[in-house]
Amino acid sequence: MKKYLRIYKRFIENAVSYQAQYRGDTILSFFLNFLWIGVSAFTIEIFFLHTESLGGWAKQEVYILALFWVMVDEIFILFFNRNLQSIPINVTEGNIDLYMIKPVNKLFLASTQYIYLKAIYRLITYLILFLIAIVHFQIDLHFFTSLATILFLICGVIVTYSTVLFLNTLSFWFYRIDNVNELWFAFSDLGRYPLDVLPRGFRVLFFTFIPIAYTAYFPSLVFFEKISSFYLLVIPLVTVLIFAGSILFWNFAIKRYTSASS
Amino acid sequence: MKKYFIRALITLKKHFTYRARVLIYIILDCSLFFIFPFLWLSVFQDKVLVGGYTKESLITYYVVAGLVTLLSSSHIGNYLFEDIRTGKLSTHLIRPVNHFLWHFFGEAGYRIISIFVALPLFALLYFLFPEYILLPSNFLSVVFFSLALFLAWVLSALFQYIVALSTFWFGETNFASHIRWFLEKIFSGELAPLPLLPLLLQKIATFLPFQYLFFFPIQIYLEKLSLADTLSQFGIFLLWILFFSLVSLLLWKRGLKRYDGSGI
Repeated sequence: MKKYLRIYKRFIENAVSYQAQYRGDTILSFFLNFLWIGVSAFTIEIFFLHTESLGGWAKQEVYILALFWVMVDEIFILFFNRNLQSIPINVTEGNIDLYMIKPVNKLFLASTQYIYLKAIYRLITYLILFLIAIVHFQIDLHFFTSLATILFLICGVIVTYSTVLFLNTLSFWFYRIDNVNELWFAFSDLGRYPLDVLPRGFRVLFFTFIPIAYTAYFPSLVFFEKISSFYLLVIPLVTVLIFAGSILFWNFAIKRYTSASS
Repeated sequence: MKKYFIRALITLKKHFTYRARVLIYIILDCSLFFIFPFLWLSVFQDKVLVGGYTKESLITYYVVAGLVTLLSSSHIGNYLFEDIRTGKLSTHLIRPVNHFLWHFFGEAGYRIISIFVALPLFALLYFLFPEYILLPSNFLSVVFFSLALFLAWVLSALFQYIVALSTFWFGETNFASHIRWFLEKIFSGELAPLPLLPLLLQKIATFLPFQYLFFFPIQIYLEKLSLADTLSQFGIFLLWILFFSLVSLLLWKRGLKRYDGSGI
């Protein structure tokens, strides 16, 4: 464990040193993010100009749902996105060799090497916006509900990680699949909206095979105490299963790796 | 013109080589329009009209918006940006081709594939949900709609091109691209029909060219404009295209003076 912490500390140092070279770009990215937030808020406002509730969700609930979605997405971008998206190119270029010769877990290296520090500033912005939303909409925070929400947000990050890992691991069989990540993020983007508006078939799909509901929908249900205690137990359990499944799939795939042009 | 058609044909063949990739890009282009009809259905509940739209016309609006995205949303900006950034533009400059048309026709291959995906997809949706999808009642609307789609593609390509030309001055397009993206999202009618926007934004949108990317073609499809309005709007549309063509030409000429071919 100590060894892994030491390695991760080095990754963080590398990320800080890399980021320091692109300060201007970081500031620009931070401000441009407000345009994205603006478009999201604009979309929500347009709907609520014409209704009081969207699929049974009030305006403040939809705002919190959207904020949870961006927070989970940003945490994923901060720690894992670039790493997992590099898997297909590393497989086709034979760069997995570098992981093979090191006395470290291969998945650890494939998942953690690059840390995208720019995401921290955006994450802080979202946290501030979240606090503003809490005060503005006069939402009461309860200790156990908040704790359970944090647990479910962590589940959201784990499910996102597992799904993206699974999709990129497919590159051990299908080499040029880099835009599969864009496909996932396009689907995942739907999780910013209340999934209750969808017909039952689509909801089942998004709870299971395309698990976008875990990112923000379930955490929001917990936050607003709209979920039964049965699901409070089931969702973390399903999260563990999805995570274990993706790890098993990676371990299975890595055995198939035959170096360059694998 | 022959060389440009050959260029279109070559990119068409290239896209056929990577069919799965193209299919994924097509799904990506349409994905946004998947959830919006359901969200609006939830808004309707017992209402008959929302912002002057019936349930059917609003659902049709988003289905047609998906078509517009597939057939008219250009992505040529990235190519020009890369050409300037890497110095690859030099190879274009020694060729007897117009750089904008080269990339515009290069994108035509993707458009042709998109047509073959979009039309059957539209037919399938109509077959599955005939009660929610309206069809134009006369042939003239289809002709005007097709013309509006083509012009929307030209305008979209010009926006992309002008933004990408900023690479000559700034070495990147991040800021300009985001501003373009933001204005297009709000004022084009992509996220919501313009009559559903707050009054102030509606008024601003009428003075801007972005409505011609989505809102105007869809209004023609839904037959919400009279013949006189359609023709006058087409006139304004063409004037915007002329204006942005001149702007792009001016920026291209000025930008080339700054270009040293070394890559940035």
